[in-house]
Amino acid sequence: MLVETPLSGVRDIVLLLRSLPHMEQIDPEDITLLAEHGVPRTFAAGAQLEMCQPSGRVVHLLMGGRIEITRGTHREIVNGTGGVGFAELFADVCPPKAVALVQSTTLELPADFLFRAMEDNFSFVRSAIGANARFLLNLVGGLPQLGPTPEASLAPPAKIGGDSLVDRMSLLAGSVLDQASLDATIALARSMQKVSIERGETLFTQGDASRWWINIVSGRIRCENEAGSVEVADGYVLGVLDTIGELRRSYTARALVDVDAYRVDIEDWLSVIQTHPDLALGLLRMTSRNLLDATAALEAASPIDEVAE
Amino acid sequence: MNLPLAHIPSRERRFALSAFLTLACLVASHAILETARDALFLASIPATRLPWLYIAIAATSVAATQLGTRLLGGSGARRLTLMLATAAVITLTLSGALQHAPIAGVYLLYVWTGVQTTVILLQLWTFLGGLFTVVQAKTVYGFVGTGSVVGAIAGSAVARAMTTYLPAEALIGVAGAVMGIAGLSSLLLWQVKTARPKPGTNVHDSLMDCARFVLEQCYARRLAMMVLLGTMTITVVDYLFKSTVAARIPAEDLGSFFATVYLSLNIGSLVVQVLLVGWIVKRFNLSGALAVLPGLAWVGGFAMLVLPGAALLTVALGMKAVDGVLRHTLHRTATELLFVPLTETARRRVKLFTDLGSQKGGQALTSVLLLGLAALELDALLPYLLAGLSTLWVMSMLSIRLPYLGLVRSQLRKSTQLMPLPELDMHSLESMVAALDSDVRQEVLVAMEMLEQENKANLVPTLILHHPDDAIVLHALQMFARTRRTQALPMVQRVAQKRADHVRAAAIRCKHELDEICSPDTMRTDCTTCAPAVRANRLASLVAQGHATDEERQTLLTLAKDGEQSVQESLAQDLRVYNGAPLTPLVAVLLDSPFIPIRRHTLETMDAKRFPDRRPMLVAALRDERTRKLAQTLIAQLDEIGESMVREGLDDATQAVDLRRHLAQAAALFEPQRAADLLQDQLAREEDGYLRYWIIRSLNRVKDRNPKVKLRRTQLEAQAKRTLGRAYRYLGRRVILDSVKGAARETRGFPFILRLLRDKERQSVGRVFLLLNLTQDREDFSNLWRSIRSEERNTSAAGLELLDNALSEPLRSALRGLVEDIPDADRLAYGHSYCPFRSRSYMAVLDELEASQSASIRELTQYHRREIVGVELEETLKAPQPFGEVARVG
Repeated sequence: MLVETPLSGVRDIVLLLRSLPHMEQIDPEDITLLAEHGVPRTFAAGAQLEMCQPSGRVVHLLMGGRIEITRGTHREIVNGTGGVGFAELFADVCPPKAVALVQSTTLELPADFLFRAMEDNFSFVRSAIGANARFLLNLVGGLPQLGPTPEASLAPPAKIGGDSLVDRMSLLAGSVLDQASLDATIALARSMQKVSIERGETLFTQGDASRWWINIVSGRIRCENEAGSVEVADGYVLGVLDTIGELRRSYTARALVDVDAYRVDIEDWLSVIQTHPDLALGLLRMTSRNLLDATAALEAASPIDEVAE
Repeated sequence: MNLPLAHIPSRERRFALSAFLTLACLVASHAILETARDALFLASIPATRLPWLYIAIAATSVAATQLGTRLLGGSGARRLTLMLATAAVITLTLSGALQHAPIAGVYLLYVWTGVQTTVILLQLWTFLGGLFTVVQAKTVYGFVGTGSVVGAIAGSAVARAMTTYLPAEALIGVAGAVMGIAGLSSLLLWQVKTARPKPGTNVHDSLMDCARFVLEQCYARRLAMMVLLGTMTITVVDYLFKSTVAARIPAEDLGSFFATVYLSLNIGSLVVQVLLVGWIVKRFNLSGALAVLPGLAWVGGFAMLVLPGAALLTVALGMKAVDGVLRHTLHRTATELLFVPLTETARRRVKLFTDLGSQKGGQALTSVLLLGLAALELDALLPYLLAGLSTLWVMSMLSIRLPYLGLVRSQLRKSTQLMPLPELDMHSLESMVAALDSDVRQEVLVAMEMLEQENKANLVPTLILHHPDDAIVLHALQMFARTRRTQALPMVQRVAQKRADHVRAAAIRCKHELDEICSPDTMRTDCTTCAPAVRANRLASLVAQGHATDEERQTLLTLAKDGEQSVQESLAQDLRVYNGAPLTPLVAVLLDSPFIPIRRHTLETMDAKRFPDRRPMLVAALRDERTRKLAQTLIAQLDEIGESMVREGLDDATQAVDLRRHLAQAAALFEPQRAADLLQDQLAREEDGYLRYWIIRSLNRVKDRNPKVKLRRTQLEAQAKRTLGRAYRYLGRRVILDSVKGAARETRGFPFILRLLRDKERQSVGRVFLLLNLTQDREDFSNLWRSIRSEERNTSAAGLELLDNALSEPLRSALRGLVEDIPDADRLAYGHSYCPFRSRSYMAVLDELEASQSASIRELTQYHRREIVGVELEETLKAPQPFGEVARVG
């Protein structure tokens, strides 16, 4: 591993960061920015990672080693590479306790730098949101979750009468868009395409590329894969996590009755969140909270999670 | 009229009131004691002894503070109460002692009066400094400082009344009692929660520790020097005043004389405190507020030099009046603000040093000078001493501004701008070469890439072509071709024969680049016998050289469209190698690929030489989020062609607004001056607010890259003023709409319109900051804007403080009106210079909104108008909204 060599300069850190799999989506100049503002730290086995420095809160990017993260009674082990404290930072909750299980090397990043960098460098936000979505999907499983789920929280159930701008904006009200400028809601409302899906029609098939999601206005859709099937109906936002996580569809969706919906294409969505950094950060905060909630929900079932290298 | 308590937030009001009462009683006690002291002293002891007493006060104050700190532990508030109680007891004891030993008692009284106030005031202001931010302090200190004046007036009025009927000795017991009341008032401050000292923090600093600390810090040094020079000047003024009074006023009248003078001065102080301090401190920058007293002292010093001796008394009295009126009001308030940006520990240390080292040291030093002049009978030099000291004081005052702003600025966050990478060192080189042996593919790839970037590609051995990982071999082949490693050809030849299809294609491409070009016949043979990637490569080569048939061209396009990712990837690389123009249809197909890396590679391979007219392709790439940055870079590399492309695109209102925005961002990547000129031209004529914003942002990027770029400041300042006016216009409309009652509020469109207007106002404010960032070089306004919006109160306060110092009126007030935490309706008064508010009806505002340039505002307004159709409702809304006169502020 590269980290066996002591890190002495920005260039070493750049080299190392660019070799990490989850950094692939980040623009090279943004990686250099991370390297410049990060502080390499080495922790002996048993040492606790500092999550608060005198200058403010920090997070760690594990570059080699093994870290145990404790949240309440739940423990998670990050092995090899990964983030420590990012979800808590973005969710605006207390940092977790993190202890090195073997000698580990991290890049310590100041929280305020991270937030500022995210405002100016879209690739950070995009990759962080994508990573959260992938983790969430991994936790909640392939099929849509019913009830108050991460997917549903992106937009609340709402009935609309007409198709005016205000009608579309009303459909989006109460969602993460409330945290951003209204221009973002307007832009997204304008870009949404009204679609009608006939009974029996297949929206997408398992394995398709995920390039859009729909806000169901009325109707019922069956989602099925090898694990089983669920039905979703009015107000549900279908297919959002695999789209923003840039994953392939994990189930096949078929209309059980005639469905009216609004479709949001990923390009439009990316364009909106790139134009409105406050929305991007709001989305990041929301997905981070959902991720922590989902992790907590799994606590009873599995006291230790291991995040693969 | 300044009514400070009304401006203090309710959560801070109680503590401010308690601090006010404590200070008022403390100063009242001091005023009573001071009258008794001066009357008793000058009646029985010559004024020439005064310097000795100044020295005694200085020495005793230092000792008392150190002793008090050690003995009276506990939190700041508790220590303050204990000090006040102790002072009350000592003063009452002195009252009794004076009857038994009059002369010694007067000496003791003189020293004690100076010591107690120094020690307790130091504790009180240090405690308050830890409670409030710079911005809060500007409001709270004004009010608390008023307590000082009120106490002084009350104290001197009591003294004046008592001296009419009683001897001066009687005042001492009353002073002790008032000090006791101060102690009781301070009990309320016990409830203030201050941050606990961190473990290991020493809250009992010795004067030597503080001195060392001050000497190490530039700002603290200047602050200490400023206080030292101020004290020296004031001490000379005090000496001149008292010696003149002792010579002219009969001893029996001294009590009532001093009581009258002090009462007059204190009433003057009250007028200044109530009418001027808050206004001066908020309206002018700190330097302006600080400069008043030293400036007047300087004038007095020179008046003494040039005016005849007969006028000396008048000047001395005048200077004492200036000192008495301003020192404990405006000057004290402004000086205390200089301590607020310091950290708690630094503030405690610097405060202790300036109050003891600088003030008492300055007093002692001046006393030595005065004694020296008296011993040498050089009293005539006193005016020169005063003029010299006041000049130095003014200079020190002026020099504190920049370090003060630097300190406030340091509270804000560091920039995230990209710095150039440091020079490559041997260690980094070793790391990269070592990484070539890594088992992890990505590490090897990155190491190769970085070695090539550093012009060290020759360190990558040709044997790497034996690597089992195809991705690594592909990368190595491309690198060898780029760096023209002809000695690698034999190895490349082996790869061209023995590896997987797409690797073979890459090897053939590499050979082509290293000048080993096949004949058309060999290529055609390969087309029929080889796997798709090599076949595609051969077809691309035939097309590029003009040897391909129509059928071969069509086959190539089919392979590009329907081929596997590796085939498309290989073709994208072929574009880099072969002659471009005949391959233009292939480019169009590959730019449509569902695979992002292929779209990116296709773009990367297009240079102006091979693809003379690639504008449509670049425009298409701008629309794609994953290829946008790259397309913008490529446009910037086109120089004149790119510039005309951007100008035409930005001028073309039929283009999608987002595409025009991406073009504005691309413009920022041109050579800085070219970019600045282009963007400023566009800013002047752009009507769309959204695009103006992106043009301004792009201009900021240009300035970030090259701070010396020449910008048209007049144009940008005018733009900032217009934008500020626009913010106030949005605010005014929102305030009118929001004041409506009844059915209109219940409609669906109403909250959307309000929110949109609020957002537009905020966006306008953000744009003003960005524009100011372009016109002002001394401050990073984009950072200020970010800081002001911070939820962290110290950061936000530091941002506001810097804003105050960076701007002049009326811009300062107008901008503060939009960013300060005050009710919306109150903000309107601050924008008078840019957009005077006029009250009008709800419907009139809707009319204005319907004519807005913003399509969103127009659309929402039209929707809302339809919602409120109904004669009764409309009639109500046509009446002007009930607004009082909005006073002009700023």
